[in-house]
Amino acid sequence: MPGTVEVVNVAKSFRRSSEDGSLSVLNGIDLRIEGGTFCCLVGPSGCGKSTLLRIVDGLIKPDAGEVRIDGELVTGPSLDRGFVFQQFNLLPWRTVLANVEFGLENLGVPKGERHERARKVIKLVDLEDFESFYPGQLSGGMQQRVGLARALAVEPSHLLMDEPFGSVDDQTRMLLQEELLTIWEQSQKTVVFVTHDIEEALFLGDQVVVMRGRPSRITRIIDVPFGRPRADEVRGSPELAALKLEIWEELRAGATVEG
Amino acid sequence: MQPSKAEELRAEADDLHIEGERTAVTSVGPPATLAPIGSSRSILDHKWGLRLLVYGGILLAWQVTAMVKGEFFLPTIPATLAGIVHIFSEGYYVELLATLQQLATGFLIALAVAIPIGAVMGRFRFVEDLLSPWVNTLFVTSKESLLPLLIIAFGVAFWYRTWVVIIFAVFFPIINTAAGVRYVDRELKETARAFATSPGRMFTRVYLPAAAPFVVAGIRLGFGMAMKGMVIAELWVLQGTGELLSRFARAPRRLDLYYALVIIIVAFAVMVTEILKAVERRLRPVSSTKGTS
Repeated sequence: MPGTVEVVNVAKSFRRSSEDGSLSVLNGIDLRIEGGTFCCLVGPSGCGKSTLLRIVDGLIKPDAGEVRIDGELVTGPSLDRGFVFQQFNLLPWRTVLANVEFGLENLGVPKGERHERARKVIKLVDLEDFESFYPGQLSGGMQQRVGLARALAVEPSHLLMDEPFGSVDDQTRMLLQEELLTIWEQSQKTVVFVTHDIEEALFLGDQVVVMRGRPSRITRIIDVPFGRPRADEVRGSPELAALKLEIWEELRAGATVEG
Repeated sequence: MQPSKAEELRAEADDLHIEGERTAVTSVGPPATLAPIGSSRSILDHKWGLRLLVYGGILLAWQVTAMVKGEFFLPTIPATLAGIVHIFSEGYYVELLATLQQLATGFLIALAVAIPIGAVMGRFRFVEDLLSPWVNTLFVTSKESLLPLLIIAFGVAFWYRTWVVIIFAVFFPIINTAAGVRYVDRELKETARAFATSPGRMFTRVYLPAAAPFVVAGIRLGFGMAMKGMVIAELWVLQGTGELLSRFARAPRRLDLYYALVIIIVAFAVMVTEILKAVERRLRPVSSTKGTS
């Protein structure tokens, strides 16, 4: 299936501003994500999972190693990948409609078609009545729907999501998770989803990649046994609880006070 | 990465907004409905009441002084109002229009230069390092000291006066645009990059819209300087409106016309400034004004 992501021996360090030397966050990361897979990266805050996601997108260049998508080297961001940010990052001076059109403008899609395509995805995320609202007038959950619509509007083959539901309340998060699955099940894009919430990763993903340590390594890859379309009851199942415990024990083994 | 204390606080602030803007804005005092009952509310609590008191007092003092001292020192209010009519009926307004044309030309050139320079300074550190010593030095320089030089270069006609306006007006928009662009949210820049925004479109679609309230504030402050430059340029060489001001103040003294002309100029400046202030308010990002969640 097209859309396969290959991460080969990626390393990344950041310079520390206050001290000498650098902080190595990723080292020797190898990962293969088959096309059409929903892949979740979990790990504690600061383990470099968001950095890895940005390297996959091309927003950050790795110090060593490379990322290939369908065999092609990633050299920078592309509109073939849609990015959803934790803090939504909507342009506050643009309406919902204009925010969703942002990527389409960069693609050079003519105005009429742009409106049409944007309206279609706005409908997909249930915001038809809020097209002319500004981000500041919307709740966090609604803003993230706009963020998702913006990423989907360019019809990317990959969806890269950086803790997208980390800033909304629990109920909204669960609703958004279900909506995301509904949308994804219809499109079968390759999704790379970063989260620190183990349960979220298990509920959403086909594959859960566990990262820990500093520099961070991939210590476990779990194939999630739940079928598709994924039933809501999975959340309460003993299998999920067992897997959650297994991942937690894995993470706790490497946990430090600092982490 | 985890929801922080700041986010919780922001969520709380959002809740306040939903209850009504007033609660959020005036959280220091009790809500308006709980205002003290009929006791300490005086005219000083009303912005317009206070203004009426102060401005009325000034006008009254003006009128009384004029009546006591005579029109040779200060024209009365009715005489000044008649002077305004005079400026138009006697054709003096033609000079004023020519002056405003120079103002408009100079100011528009200043903006056309200042906003791109400011944007590039705000965006690229090396441009900032290169230009900011010049900009900062000229900004604090008394521009009046450059007038003789400009007369040597351009004579005393249209382009001299236009250049004076440019030199007075150009610095505020440069400095403000640069500051606005410099402080554009890192997250917004990253977002635009993730959506493969070209470097040119970064300016037009991200930097300048994000910095717009700063830019317009710079335009407004620059306009004030342009007005100043306009009047000083003409007073220096006794041409146009500056010549009229100078003439009305000399024998035969016509202070009624002098005050009338000053009032017209000030009224024009205030009008433009108020329009720019309104634009600035509109450009501020819309925050939650309705409970929509």
